[in-house]
Amino acid sequence: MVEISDVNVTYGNKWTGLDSVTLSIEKGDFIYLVGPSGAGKSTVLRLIYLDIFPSQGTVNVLGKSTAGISRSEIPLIRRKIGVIFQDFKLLKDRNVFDNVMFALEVTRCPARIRKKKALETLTALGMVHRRNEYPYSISGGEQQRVAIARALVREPLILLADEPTGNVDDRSGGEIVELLNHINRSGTAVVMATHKLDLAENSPHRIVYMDKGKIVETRAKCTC
Amino acid sequence: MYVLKAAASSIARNRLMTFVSLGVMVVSIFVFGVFLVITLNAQSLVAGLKQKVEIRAFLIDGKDPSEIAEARSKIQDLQGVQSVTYVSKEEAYSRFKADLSDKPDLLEAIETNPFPASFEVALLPDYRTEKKASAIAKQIEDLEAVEEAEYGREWVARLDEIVRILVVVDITVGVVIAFSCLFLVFNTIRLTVFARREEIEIMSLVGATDGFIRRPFLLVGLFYGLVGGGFASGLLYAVHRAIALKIPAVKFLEPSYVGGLILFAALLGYTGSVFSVRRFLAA
Repeated sequence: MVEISDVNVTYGNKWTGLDSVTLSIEKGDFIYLVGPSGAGKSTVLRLIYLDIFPSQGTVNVLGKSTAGISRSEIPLIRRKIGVIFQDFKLLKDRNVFDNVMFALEVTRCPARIRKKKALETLTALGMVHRRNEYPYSISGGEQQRVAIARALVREPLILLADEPTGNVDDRSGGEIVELLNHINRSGTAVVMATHKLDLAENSPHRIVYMDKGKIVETRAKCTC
Repeated sequence: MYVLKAAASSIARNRLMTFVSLGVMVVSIFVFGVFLVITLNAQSLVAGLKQKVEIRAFLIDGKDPSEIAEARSKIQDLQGVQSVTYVSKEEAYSRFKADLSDKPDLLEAIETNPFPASFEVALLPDYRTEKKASAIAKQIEDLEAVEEAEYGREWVARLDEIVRILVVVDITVGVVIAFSCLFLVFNTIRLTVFARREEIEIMSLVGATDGFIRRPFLLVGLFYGLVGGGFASGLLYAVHRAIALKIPAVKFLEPSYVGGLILFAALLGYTGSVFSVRRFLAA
């Protein structure tokens, strides 16, 4: 699904975001990208959702090489990728239901189907009872669930999570990780960037350790 | 539907900016409209005056009718001549007497008819300029029967100068207003885009195309232009009505010009949006 081969990313002429990174993501994978701040975890995610492009090396996302990709092709690929962030990135002036529907609105999905899918997704994530609430009136954990619902409502092939537990308490964080596991079990590949080493190491999934823009170690998926 | 909703919400959420943008757009287009109305009336006035541009060809005394007829025929054949009217010595004198009928003392002092016969030469509209009237007058003067040809050189030249200045002022004002409107709309939309950057970022993340993101902003620019242009035209009409009560001869713009003014404003609004959004999306 995603092939990142010997990729360098440099910002300007000075700062190196990634240095010779190679990573492969297959259907149904759950990968933790772990490392301290500035390790390059978010940069890898940004490469995958085509927010930035490599200075060197090749990136292939869902069968499309990023070399020579046109601006008009990017949205079409992004529609198959879900992204969630530490700061949720919800629209503050829209309620939970409209925030989820928003992801379908931009793809011109008919209103009837939008409503149906948004309701189904919110129900699956246990947030349907909060659908009329605004982001400021629900907890951080609930906001992250809404963000996940918005990412899932388009049934993505890959879900990218950038520090999804960074802004929530431990209990909510655990619930979010459990939710991501559940999503992964249904076939969606999940790539989660986190600086919480224990969170990753207590799971059976593949772990990619990063530091200073490099992959320093990889732990294979535990089959035990 | 989303485009309309997003545009409406952008206008509603940025009421102050909308108000300011519309206000400046109205003022700019109004000023431009005022110049158009002034130009239209000035051109109409100049056109009226220019109708009076004619050449007076004075004949040498003592020419017989056949020579006069020949001269008339030659003048009539000149390019740019509309009509030729013969004014005999007697007619010229009786006109003079009619003009001075309230001053009989002056008339009594004139014992003989001092006026020469003449031709009044009317020119076709395109030839009522200083340059062309001068050229025709020169050709008439070269005729054997003609002593002198005059056409009011100074005031014809002045009318030409006025028309030239009006055109230059109109173009200059139009260009200045076009650029100031573009700059204004560009900055207003840029502020609106900036205020909605989070929404745009999210739209982009969930797979919205550039066109989908851009369209509401273009619609807002178009709205500023259409509404601003409409208000400016209404204001212009109201001011014209007020002036026309005192000076009825003042003309207003033709409906096609009013439509053009509104379309011009709409085009400015739209173009301003195109530049600001393009710049933002490219960043």
